[in-house]
Amino acid sequence: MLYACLTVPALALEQRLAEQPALRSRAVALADDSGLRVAEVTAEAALRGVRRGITLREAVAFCPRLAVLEPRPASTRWAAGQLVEAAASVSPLIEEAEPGTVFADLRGLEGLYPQPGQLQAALLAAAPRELPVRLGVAGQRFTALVAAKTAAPQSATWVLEGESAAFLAGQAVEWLPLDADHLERLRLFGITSLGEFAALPMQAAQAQFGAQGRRAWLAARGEDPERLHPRRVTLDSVHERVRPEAPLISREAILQGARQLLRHALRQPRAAGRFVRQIRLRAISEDEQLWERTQPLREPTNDRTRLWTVVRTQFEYAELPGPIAELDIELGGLTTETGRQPGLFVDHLRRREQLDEMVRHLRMRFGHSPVAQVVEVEPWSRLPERRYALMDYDP
Amino acid sequence: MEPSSGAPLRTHGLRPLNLPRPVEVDLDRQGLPERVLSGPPGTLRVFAVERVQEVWRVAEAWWRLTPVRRTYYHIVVDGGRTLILFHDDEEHPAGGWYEQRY
Repeated sequence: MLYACLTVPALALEQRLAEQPALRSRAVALADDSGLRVAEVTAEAALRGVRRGITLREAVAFCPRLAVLEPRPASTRWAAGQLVEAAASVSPLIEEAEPGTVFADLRGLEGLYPQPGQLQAALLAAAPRELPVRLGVAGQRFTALVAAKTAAPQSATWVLEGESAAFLAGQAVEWLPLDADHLERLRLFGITSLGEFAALPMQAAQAQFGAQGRRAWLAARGEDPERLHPRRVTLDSVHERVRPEAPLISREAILQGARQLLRHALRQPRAAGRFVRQIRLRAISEDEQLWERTQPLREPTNDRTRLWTVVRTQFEYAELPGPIAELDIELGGLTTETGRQPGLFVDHLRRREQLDEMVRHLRMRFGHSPVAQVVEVEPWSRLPERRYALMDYDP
Repeated sequence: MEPSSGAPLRTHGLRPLNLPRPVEVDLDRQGLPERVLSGPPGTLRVFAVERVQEVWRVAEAWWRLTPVRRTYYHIVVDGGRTLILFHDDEEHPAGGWYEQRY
């Protein structure tokens, strides 16, 4: 077996820092969903005593110049999706263990990537560049995870077969797949490295921590029995996102931005020759408010004009939360369908129903039907004005 | 007898298409169109008739009180454009000229 693990530790915070790179060198904390406690911290903030779980009030007391960011779940979800797509572009067997950590089964890829380093390079190249992605490759799942967590950003650690136990021996026990109170107990026992934990008899680990303890003990010895639980990943959507330098205020500017995004999305190789089933639009305002709309299409299409009509209508009638700092478009449900079999009469009937509905709507609005139809009166007449007439169309 | 429903009678707004448009026509000595003043309101133009291609008569509903008698002229005007005019023979010979697609 050969596993790869792509991970971005503290993905939610890293995604926010990727959006505001100027903050990267500062002491920054990401608030949790409640907005009361610290969820993630940068190394600079950790140096000043800011830790995960403390209240924001305590954090500011530790570090008065601390920058506190609010979480943006939609943005984090998007970044996690990018990571999944990166792994899926290399291997068909992948598992997202949590947002920001993806495992890939690398069996059988030697033919595609015969040279040493090609596989790692392909995985890292596919990953989003603005995030500090780390890659670990090993024969066991847990070893691959630890290798990734300990790798430098944008680089890989490959643990060769037979060297897993030696590699893990010096690593911290915090990586073990154990509950937080079990890890705390290990700390109280004075066990700080995986090597020390692996040196315990298996029965001791099992007696202390049950089934979890057995798996953790095997993992620490480089014998992790846990396999991948791959899910089917269908690369059936394309994303495009833009963060304009200045927030978009006028609706015309927003429409222009959306139009450009749609054009770029349709140009992506994955969208070439495929039909779109659903459009998802997101706009994030300057003050972090999210506006999101999902519009399934009545039938798949790759006609840019029709897609633009849908996008434009959504934005024209949108009540946006303020000046827009970020626009995101996702064309989903991409299908290879390129033709359809309409019924001989169904299409005609449907058009007639649509027309009738539209005329009823106009009659309701204007008080009369502004639509007329041409009817034959005396088509055989020698007097031209008697042949055809206009009649009010009244469905 | 069925009582009246009181509903107003409706003709469903039947509006004839291709109604004749009045035009002014100058005749030559033979009584054929020589010049035509035609065009949409506000952009009237005088067309000189180059030749008359075809003439035909239409007589309809002669058995009714308002019979229809017309003489149609298929003419070519300057610039090569073709027009179809008719004279309403029930009207005064000097007036009663119309343009109509046939």
